[in-house]
Amino acid sequence: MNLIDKLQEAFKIFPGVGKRTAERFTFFTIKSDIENIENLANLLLDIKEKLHPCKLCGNPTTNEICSICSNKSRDHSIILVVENIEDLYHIESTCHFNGIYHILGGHLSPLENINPENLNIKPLIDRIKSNNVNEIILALNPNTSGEVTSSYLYELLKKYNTKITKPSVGLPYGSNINYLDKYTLIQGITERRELKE
Amino acid sequence: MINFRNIENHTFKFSNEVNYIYGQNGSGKTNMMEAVYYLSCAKSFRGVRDSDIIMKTKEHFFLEGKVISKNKTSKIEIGNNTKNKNIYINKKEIRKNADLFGIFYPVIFSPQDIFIVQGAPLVRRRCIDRLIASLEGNYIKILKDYNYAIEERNKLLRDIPDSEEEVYAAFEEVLVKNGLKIFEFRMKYINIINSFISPIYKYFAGNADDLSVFYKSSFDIESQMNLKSKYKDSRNRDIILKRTTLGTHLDDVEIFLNNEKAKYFASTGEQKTIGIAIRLAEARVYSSINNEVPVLLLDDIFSELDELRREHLIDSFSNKGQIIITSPDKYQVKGDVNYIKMENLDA
Repeated sequence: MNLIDKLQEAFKIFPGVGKRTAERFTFFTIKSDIENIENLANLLLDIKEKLHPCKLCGNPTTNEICSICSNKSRDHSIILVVENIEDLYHIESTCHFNGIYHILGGHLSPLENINPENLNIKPLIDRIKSNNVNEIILALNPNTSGEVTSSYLYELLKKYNTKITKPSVGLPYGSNINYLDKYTLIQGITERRELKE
Repeated sequence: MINFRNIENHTFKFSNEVNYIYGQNGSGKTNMMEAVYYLSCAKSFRGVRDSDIIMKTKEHFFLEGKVISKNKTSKIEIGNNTKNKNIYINKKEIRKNADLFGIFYPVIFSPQDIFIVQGAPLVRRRCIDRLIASLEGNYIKILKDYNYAIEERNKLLRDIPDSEEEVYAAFEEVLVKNGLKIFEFRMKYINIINSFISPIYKYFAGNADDLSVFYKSSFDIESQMNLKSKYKDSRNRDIILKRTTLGTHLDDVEIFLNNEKAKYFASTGEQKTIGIAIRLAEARVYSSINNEVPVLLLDDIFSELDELRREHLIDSFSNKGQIIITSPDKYQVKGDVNYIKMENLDA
């Protein structure tokens, strides 16, 4: 395998990058200025060498504690639990949630060899035990494995006398009823709420 | 139809009443039937993989169907190249096969229907589940979630039996929640089938024998708490057996002819007739609830029936909906029949 083929194969490790995209990335790299590529290569190395999970929530950070967990203006009595880093970043981009997060690192699935010990659960329990936590929001993906993980966490956490909630499910805003799948529609109608002044 | 089994490129036009397709064995009659069925749910009724349907030496197949029902006309297009399946309804791409449900519902009668009586419980569960799925929008999701939880729990039983109590409980909760719904839906539809099936059988068989169906469940309607504890109690036994021994995935529909189990006591001829009566009941249940008559696909069962039963079968549905019949021989059928001879398809 020559250098070009090797680089193409290497690009394919990224999600969503197939043969064609890997080829484009490779030829772009060949044509690019050395500074750009050096910068990219250094960043890739840095991110692997310097980033590690926050001791409290699991969010990648260069410090011991991430910027969200160390931010005193945030409400530390509400913990929002997500499956992955991407979920945290997405919720954070709404600028709507002012509590703190906890990254589980996936969902429970014995079939995929993801068991409780593979998830970031113990640190969550430690946080609940040692801080004044009023509410835990289980914002796991709204699918069966997310539901299963939520109900597992609920069983595990209910003894700590903390309010446990989860985001509501139903019709997505901006959609068209005509396009929704039947299950989402039924769910939305079942979980309807009364309009109030 | 393009590259669909042995049919390279052909268009069929059916009348909205009786269509009679005849031709020698291997001419592609059942393949044509399979294509009609495939348009309704993007699956074959023969239980084969999509890659088996693509014509040998070709890389994809394509189906297009125009479905004219009471209220609307829908164009369904399905392209399949083994890696991807693209489905369009009225030029709008859909993501889930389940979104195809409800456009039209074919009921297929085939010589294999004898296995509804003779076969394993799975055959009967599939039969009732398909009917329910076509009438209840959330049923497929409920079944899928249930089966997912069974697989996950079985993995625990097999490989990680000493998992925490809470892990078992989390999967069992999905089983309880969805299992009860499956149970209720199946009971509801078995009751509806029962209200139709006895007169259908009497008329079709031409005798006074009494046919009934009964849902045999591994649990009764009980409170969710009770079922939860039953799953908990069954863990030790299930760990030894390495599988989940409680739930709707083991249920059965028992068929009785004159109060005796048809599986063991009915003759082969009676079992064939029962299979047809069950299909007729399926069609009747569908039309009574959906106010739309299903498309009847009679695949190669015509030649096995005597003249009286052929007439009874057609009479049950003539003037009410579309029927597509395939047979190697050309029989005369009453009424306005569109005869199609299967030969030289590529012409």
